[in-house]
Amino acid sequence: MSNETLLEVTDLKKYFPIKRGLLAKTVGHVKAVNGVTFSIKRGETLGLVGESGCGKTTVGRSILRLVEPTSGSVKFEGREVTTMEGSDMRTLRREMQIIFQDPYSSLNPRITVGGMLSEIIKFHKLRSSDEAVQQRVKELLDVVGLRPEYARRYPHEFSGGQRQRIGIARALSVEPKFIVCDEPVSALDVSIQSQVINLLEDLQKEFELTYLFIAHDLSVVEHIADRVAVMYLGEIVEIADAGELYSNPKHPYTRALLSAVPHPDPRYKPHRIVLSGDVPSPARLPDGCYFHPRCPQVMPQCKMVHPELGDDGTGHVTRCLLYPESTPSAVAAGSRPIQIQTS
Amino acid sequence: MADESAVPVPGDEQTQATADKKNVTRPDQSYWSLVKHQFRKHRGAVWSLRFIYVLFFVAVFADFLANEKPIACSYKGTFYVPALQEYAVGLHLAKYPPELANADWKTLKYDWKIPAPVQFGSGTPDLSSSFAKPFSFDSGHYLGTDQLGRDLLSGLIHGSRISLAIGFVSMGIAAIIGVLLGAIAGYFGGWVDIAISRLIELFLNFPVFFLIITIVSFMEANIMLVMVVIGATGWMGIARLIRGEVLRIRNMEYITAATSLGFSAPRIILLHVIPNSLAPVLVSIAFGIAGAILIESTLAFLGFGVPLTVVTWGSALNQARSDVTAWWLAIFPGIMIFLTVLSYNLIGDALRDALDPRLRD
Repeated sequence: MSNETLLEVTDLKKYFPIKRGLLAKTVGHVKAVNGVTFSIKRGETLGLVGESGCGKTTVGRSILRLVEPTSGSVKFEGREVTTMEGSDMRTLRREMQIIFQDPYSSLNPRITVGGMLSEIIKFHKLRSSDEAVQQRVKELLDVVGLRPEYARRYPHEFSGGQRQRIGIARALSVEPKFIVCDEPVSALDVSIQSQVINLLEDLQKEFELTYLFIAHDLSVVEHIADRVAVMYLGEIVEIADAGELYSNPKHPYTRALLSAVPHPDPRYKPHRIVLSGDVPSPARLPDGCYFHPRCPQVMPQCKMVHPELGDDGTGHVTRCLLYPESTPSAVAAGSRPIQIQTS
Repeated sequence: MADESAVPVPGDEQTQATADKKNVTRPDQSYWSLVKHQFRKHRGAVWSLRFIYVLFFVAVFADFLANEKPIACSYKGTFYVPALQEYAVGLHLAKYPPELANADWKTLKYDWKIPAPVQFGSGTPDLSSSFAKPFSFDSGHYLGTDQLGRDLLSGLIHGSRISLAIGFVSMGIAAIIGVLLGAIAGYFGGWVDIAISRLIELFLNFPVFFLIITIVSFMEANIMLVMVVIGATGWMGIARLIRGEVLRIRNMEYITAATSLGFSAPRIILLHVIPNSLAPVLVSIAFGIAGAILIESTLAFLGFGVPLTVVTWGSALNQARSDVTAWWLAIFPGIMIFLTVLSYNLIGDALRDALDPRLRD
């Protein structure tokens, strides 16, 4: 890991319009991603955690422009991604890749594994001769721990773990610098999960990759991530180094998530924080802190004041009024205005 | 991986092939071999397919099955293969000697000849044998003749060409239009989808049959025209099917993966979306072929579509109106149309079942 920033995401927003009626009039927006800011250093793994529907997948896909962000900026090696077009975009496609959650729908069932990989290599002109392309296909399969003969097989001939390895080989085929791992192990058996995570770690060392590792499960992220960001309703509520976050969680939501992580020792009886109520709809966000309707430590001002991300000075960033650094007045002294939700 | 032991060693296809025969539900079979296996369970469809094969054979070799010119003969010491030479003459590549150019091939004195099984060309009138009864083996008119003395069996044999061509060419045209428009509508969505969907509804509102009759009656009788018109008015069902499939497949992660790899939209549509959405269209095509044959038969029955000199199943049926007692003119072409349309429908039915994963056991 170096100190050089590879990816910088600033105030990223993605609103999906809700359309109704004959003329498809926009009656509102689902605020899937609502102002997300973070950066990833070269060689680092940032874990992005949150429950389903919190916008973590949309963040990953917006970075790759697989969904067009509504606003905000994504800078990759200093280049602005959100406005890139044509050949620049095609070059960028080779540098940023994605591994998907569902190993069953992420492979085209009509194309052999070798056919898929060689199409990519030929499309991006990564090898010139046919033999070199075939050689590269074998190399890629070998790298992800599959036998080179598998190139002739169709996706349905593989198990879930094998398919996920093929998905990883596909992402690696363009020799990227950065990979968004979109819940790559959520659909796998626990025994296969660790194999795939170990593979991802080995590949990171071998090819100096940078990961954005998205998961809904803190225990998976603990193993692989250097830093962890926790998302709730389209916002980041806490970012910290992995060790710090697990030993000293600050935001009540992070604490609740951590208390839900299963423990291998059945006699271990942790104090479980059980959140009441459902996640509010991202189409109608609550006033004040988005988490206040479910927060066990809710205070009167939480219903009015929307907290800002505040750094406690050690790089542990929290968005919660329990901590002085998060109150908008403290931030207002700096640059940002007080943000009180009125809608 | 867990299932490695169950997988045969790659490289020896022969073992794999024999293994496939022994155990048809092996997990590593390709999608199409599963479909094939499922299709074979439908016995009616298997026989229908065989019937269509036979029809193909008849259509391809029609000139050797029913022809007034012999397949091979020797005339005045010279060897001829008139049935074959006819193609060269037709293309102006060769000529018959003058005495044969306008000869009546039936009455020539040959040294020897191998005649075609049915010794009558299609559409050659012979007024002396008007309304010959069927099964009269002396005259050689196995299935009888019509009012003009044209041999019915020969007409059916040559008519099979038109029926098959009608089905395949018109549905080929419909499939190309339907698949492309449907895929574009489904993949891009938005106003493109709205425009194409409205176009589909617009075309669905045409009374197709009357449109065809109108066009065909204004233009010169021409079989190609009929095929193009049937194709150009029959693509909407296919377009709708494909659009629906593409809407489903567009959200698959392998399409997102293809986008993330920088593939262009035409490449994704042609190489990744369409191959995965084509299966249900096959069913639609099979039914469409049956429909097209029926439309052509109806047109020919009404006297539209094909020139009077060309005999098709429909026009042979039309002849039955000239004399009600000549039952054979109604029965035999009717049976052919019925069997062919039934076959395509059975094939379509079996394909639909075979392609549907939920019905698989």
